[in-house]
Amino acid sequence: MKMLPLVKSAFAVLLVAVMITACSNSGASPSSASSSSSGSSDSSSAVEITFSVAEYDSKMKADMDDLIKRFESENKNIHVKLLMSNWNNYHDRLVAWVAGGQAPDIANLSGLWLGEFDDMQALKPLDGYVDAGFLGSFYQGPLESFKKDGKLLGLPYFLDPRVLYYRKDLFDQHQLPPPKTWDDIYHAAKVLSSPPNVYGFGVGGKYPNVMTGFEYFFFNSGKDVAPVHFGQNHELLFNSPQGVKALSFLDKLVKEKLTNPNPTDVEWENGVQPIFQSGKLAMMITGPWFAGMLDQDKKVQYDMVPVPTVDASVQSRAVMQPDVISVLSTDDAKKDAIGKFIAFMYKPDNRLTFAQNHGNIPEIQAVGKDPKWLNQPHNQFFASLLPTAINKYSDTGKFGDQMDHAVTEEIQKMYLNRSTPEEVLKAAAEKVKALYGG
Amino acid sequence: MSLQAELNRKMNPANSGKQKVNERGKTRILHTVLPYALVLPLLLLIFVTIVYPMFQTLLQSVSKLNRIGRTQSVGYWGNYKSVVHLDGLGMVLGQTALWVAVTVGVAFVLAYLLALQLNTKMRFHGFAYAMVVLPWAAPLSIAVLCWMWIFHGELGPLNEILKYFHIIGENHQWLGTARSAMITVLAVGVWSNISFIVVTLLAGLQTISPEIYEAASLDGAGAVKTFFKFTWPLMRSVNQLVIVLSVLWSFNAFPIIWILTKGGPASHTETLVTLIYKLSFVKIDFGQAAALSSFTFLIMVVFTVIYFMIGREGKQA
Repeated sequence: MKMLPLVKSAFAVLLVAVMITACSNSGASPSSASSSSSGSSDSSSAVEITFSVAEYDSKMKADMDDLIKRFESENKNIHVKLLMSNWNNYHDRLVAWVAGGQAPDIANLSGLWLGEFDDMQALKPLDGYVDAGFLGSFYQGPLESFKKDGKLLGLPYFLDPRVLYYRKDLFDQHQLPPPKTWDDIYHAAKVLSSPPNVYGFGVGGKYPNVMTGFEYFFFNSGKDVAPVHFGQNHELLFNSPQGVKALSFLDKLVKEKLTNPNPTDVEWENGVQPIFQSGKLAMMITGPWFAGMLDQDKKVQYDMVPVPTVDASVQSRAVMQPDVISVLSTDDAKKDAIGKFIAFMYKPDNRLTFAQNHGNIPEIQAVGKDPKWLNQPHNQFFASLLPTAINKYSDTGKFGDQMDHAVTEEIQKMYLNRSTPEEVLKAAAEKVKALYGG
Repeated sequence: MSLQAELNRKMNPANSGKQKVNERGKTRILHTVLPYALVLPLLLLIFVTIVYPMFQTLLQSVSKLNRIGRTQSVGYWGNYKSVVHLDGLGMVLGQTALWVAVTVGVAFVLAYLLALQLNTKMRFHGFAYAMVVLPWAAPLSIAVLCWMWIFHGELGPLNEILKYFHIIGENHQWLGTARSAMITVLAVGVWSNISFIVVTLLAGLQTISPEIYEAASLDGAGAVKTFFKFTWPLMRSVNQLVIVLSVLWSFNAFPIIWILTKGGPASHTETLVTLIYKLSFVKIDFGQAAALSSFTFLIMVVFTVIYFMIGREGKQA
């Protein structure tokens, strides 16, 4: 059948139109895309702001819906659209949104991603949205650690000092003291390990938190270990004797079969926590939310101590991985609405509810000292760790997530018996150096 | 011809010829344009969802992009150069080839056996067919999540079942070691491919006349000889279609590997598609990701062309 010239031309025009549209897409800007999804530019008329948050647990949606409902009842001209995502794909969704010019106005981010999204020019300094009095209400250490070149890029969403959980019943049964040093962990693991019924210490070698698992020990490997990743010449500090010592300790536990077998099969938190909950682990390191989970389960008797150190002369430092609230909006007309929502979200009452519901440590000083929070089980212990706690995201910079992946891959080779701790740290340092171009 | 047209023809014999030409012209136009008009909506959808993104990807692969994916300049070959020098690319290519060969090859053989069996008059035919099709009906991501828990080293039921029957003595970490993780993801990949292949092969087998098999049986041909002499040649076009589609889909199979291992441990189950994903969303280098995507597309095009050429030569022979 012959095509008529008209029909031929129509298809040719369609094809060319598609190609031209493809070639001209470089002119699109995030501001134009996000403006198109915004509400009216007049502050007196209704404004819609989008708030993206990760689903920390099953209560998160209900909590956020309630928060938004109460906010909207006080601010009739502001509508907040909630976007909730699973942690497993949250980072990738955010990248897709930002790259597609559809970034949410306010987003809850992992502290690890702050440098990366700043490099993508997606973040707006928070100083323009909140006042100094508001900022003064935070614990200043964590707040300062989220500043870059004097600009505040994220407000801590909570604090989460990691601790060592141990099976109090097993320790009492074998008259073992609560672990304070690595030798205590090793000795207790040797005594209590009885595979496959009980493993001594929980190790996760599957992304995420593999690098963090190493950092729990690295940052407690000596008095002179700085609480950062990079030195003055941007050298990776954990490629050092202390780093090798810390990683070798983990390697020793795994090789002597004092941990759950084949750690590369298991994530440090979501994988190891269920093993502890099932009663098959004697010790593990994780965050404060786990205490609430264990209290709810009532299946294992447990207690907590600060993360053990290389020896008794070193003071324990809890490693934190605080998430943040950042502003990504490019629409100045929404500034007022965004500022109001952030201020409402961080009202002490709301932060107290959040901390109580999700087992986190408050980032606001007033809430941290509030007897309603402080007098709840375990909270005084967690609060006592804050003065010396380390925010591991303070200097990860624009390639934080990639550094995490690169280091994870090398550590996995050690767990698979393909590299020694020295080789792992050397290879990791080279990969990180290539990343940061140093 | 309508009554009015007939009247017009009789009253105006000089015009009847012109009318016939006009009507024939209109019919020809209608017959020519109508098929295109009917497929146009689908073609538009394909353009928007497949062709346009393909051109966009090709363009990005030769462009210098900033971290947010915005084009800074076009005519940049650095993306392809850096892809070629990616760490571990050789291993990823090898693992991709292994993944495709096993998930297609093993699934094809098993599916053929199942299809041949389902093509007979067997008891519980309906139940068996439903069991074979069930993996296809379940959303893949949910099914793979279930598999992840089945294979869990400490809490998964597979270890408990195997220990109960004394097949293993202690828990096996299915996804914990390089070799075991690869075998496990391959097994799930084969499982996910079988349903489509069985259904398609069965449809093809059912078009073969039973008289051919009766004649073969009368001539004393056994099952194996019957299969290779009659079934296989008669199923040539179906086999070709199934293999090409399965290979293309296997190349792009992302959920299984990502959910089970994310390409680990230590990249030992990484394939081209998971590497492309990591370049996009971990490294956030859309240019490199586009270059590797284009390279993957080229491999699939070359495979398809060569495969069909071989198939055509075989047919001619």
